[in-house]
Amino acid sequence: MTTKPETSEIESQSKKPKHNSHSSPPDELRDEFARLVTSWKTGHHRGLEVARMVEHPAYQRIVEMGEQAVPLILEELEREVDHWFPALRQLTGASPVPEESKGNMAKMRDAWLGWGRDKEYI
Amino acid sequence: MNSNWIDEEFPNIDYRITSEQDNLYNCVAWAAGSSNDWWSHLEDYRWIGERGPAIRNLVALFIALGYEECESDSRDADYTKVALYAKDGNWTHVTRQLPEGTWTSKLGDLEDIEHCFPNDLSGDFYGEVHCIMRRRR
Repeated sequence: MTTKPETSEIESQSKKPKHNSHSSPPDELRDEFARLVTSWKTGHHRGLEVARMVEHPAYQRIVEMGEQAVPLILEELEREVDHWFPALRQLTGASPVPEESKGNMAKMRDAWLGWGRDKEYI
Repeated sequence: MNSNWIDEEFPNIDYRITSEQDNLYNCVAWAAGSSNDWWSHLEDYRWIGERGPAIRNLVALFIALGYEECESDSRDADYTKVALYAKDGNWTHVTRQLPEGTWTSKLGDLEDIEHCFPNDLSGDFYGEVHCIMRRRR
């Protein structure tokens, strides 16, 4: 006969974050990330080529957050397709997009999200 | 984003908006005849030839697509023409001539517009027209 776990133990387990091999970003970082995303997503620079679009200070600040920004970027990419690929490349050094998918934003997103799940970022 | 940004960046041009904002394709794709992918020298994006921001790489890309440099941006019924823009030696934008002689531009991941001349978009935002190229229809 198995022992029924204590209620407090069940509650404790249900509150545990989804397992991944990376620490969950702190709330302050999430808030800062959200603010920077909003700033980057609007403005005249959205009329530029992507190489110049990602020079925007808000985007660069996200890159400066380092690896801890990776799960946040992947969550944001899952929410809405956008040009997060240069940041992900710079932060991880990975290149999961197959040659035949390059340029197709939806397929690029799928490749990066698949990579993120494999690496347990999301 | 409100399209007033076009008036602010390109004052005094005569244009009309011909598409909704769309971040699935860009000016190079649109000039090359595609509206479902994004061409950039950055890794992960579609490109032909050497990757890099220098305008010569964009010229080489259009040569690979069958274009040649030419002198005039005037309408020629036998050719499709494109105008390539550069700023500080780096490519910034491409616009394509429509059969009736006006030009169509996809502005980053925002709208497509139709305008009268390549030089309409010259200035601080995209720099200057670097060259005109043509390909037989």
